[in-house]
Amino acid sequence: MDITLNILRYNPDSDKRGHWEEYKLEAEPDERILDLLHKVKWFDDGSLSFRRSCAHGVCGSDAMVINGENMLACQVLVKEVSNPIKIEPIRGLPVIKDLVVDMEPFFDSYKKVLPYLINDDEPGERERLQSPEDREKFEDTTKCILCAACTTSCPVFWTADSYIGPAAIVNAHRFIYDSRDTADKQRLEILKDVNGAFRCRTAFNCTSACPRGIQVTKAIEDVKRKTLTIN
Amino acid sequence: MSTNQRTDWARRQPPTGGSNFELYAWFFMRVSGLFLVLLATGHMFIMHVFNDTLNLDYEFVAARWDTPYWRTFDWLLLALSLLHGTNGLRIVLHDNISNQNLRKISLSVLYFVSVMFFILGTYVLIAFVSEV
Amino acid sequence: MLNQKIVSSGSVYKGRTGMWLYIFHRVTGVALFGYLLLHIISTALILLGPEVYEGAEAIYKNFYFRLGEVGLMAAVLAHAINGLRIITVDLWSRGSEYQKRLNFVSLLIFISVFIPTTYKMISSYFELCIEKSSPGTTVIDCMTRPLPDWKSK
Repeated sequence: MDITLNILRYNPDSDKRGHWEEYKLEAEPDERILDLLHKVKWFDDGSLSFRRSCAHGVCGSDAMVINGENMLACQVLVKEVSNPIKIEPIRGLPVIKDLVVDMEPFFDSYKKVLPYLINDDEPGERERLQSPEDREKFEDTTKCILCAACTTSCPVFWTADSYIGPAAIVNAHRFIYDSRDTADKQRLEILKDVNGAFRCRTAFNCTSACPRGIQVTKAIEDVKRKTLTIN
Repeated sequence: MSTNQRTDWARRQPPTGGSNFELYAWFFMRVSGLFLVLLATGHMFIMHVFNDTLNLDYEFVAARWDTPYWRTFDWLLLALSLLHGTNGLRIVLHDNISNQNLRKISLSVLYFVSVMFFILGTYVLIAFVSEV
Repeated sequence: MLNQKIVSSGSVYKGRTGMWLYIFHRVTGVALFGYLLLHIISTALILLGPEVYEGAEAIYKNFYFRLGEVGLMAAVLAHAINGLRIITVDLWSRGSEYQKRLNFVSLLIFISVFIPTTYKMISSYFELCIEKSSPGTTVIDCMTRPLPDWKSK
């Protein structure tokens, strides 16, 4: 089938602002949006820049705005979106070139919440045990691949770029609710900052943007309520 | 902070928390919101639905403020709606103004205006004596 | 974020209902705060005596301001009901699971309160207008003319 691809291009060396560029190409309905981008880059316009690595929805490199919504280009099939297809970089992060954005502010926020297991008790003879019920509490938030689809879909993040963003809170949630971790108070302390979890206004854009189906808003609400009950 | 020897790559950015202000502000918005649902919609219904504002005149207000209960009701409404609104606007300004100086100035203006209106409203409620 | 602003396409993100409700809550909130300040000033005029106060109130007594009152009522009710929805989502542990249904329920509550109050406010306006005006006054007259001052009669 014939596909029209509209891509928001931006070259920092020559462009003052972004501009739409149109590409017409042939594609099978079962091809992914990422395949279309490859076709453009490989056979039409080699200057098109975008990130991708595993191309199977695991590495989280190719989050972009496809027809107005955050998605992973490697997960969405041509038949699942309406034609013509509009592709823009994710919002709220500085654009470096075309679909490539500067992820540093995003990872800075992520690092702020201490996203690793903290437990200073003696390890003992064997592994730290956890019941299936305790594991279940943070099962959902372990699925995060740090693609930034949630954070860059958040209307609060667009306007208040100092907001720590849903992804960081999801990753804090993953350790706060881990029975083996002992730094939950520390993380909640970080998240009650002026740019922390209480900046969330429950727009639920993050929940629908998550390519892994994480109930992002629910995780943020869990964190808010936990902060409320321990204070 | 834990004292283990794990690589410290993420702790370069120290926790900025410590103050409970945002937590309390967030909770206050919900609690005052609940009260305002009763007070503000109650006020709206009394003034615009059960009475008609076309009949609203000096005597109506004078009779209303003859009882300390309505003065208290109106003062609570004044105080809670101003606080609720000021905090709401504080967040809107915080979200939409990224220039630190501009943010500080606009927040100061907001707080000043709110305090002035609170004083004015409170003064009216206390000082009003009916002339008829 | 300088770059982002340059590149920004101007197209609208296809957010969910929650995003629009978030914007709506902000807009109505700011508008209501502005109205609150005006309302405090107009009420404060009462200290200057009946003439000044009623002189100021007289400005509001026409059909356009009645429509404005209906709008005010809509803003207050919508902000209140949406606020209750937000409280439910925030403080009920299963609130975010049921958020779509909560959106729908909030809309139903809003409609079921707003329609009867609007009916009462509009019909009451015309009833009072026709009752107090000279015989032969029509609904159209009430909409286009300022109301007669029936207090001084």
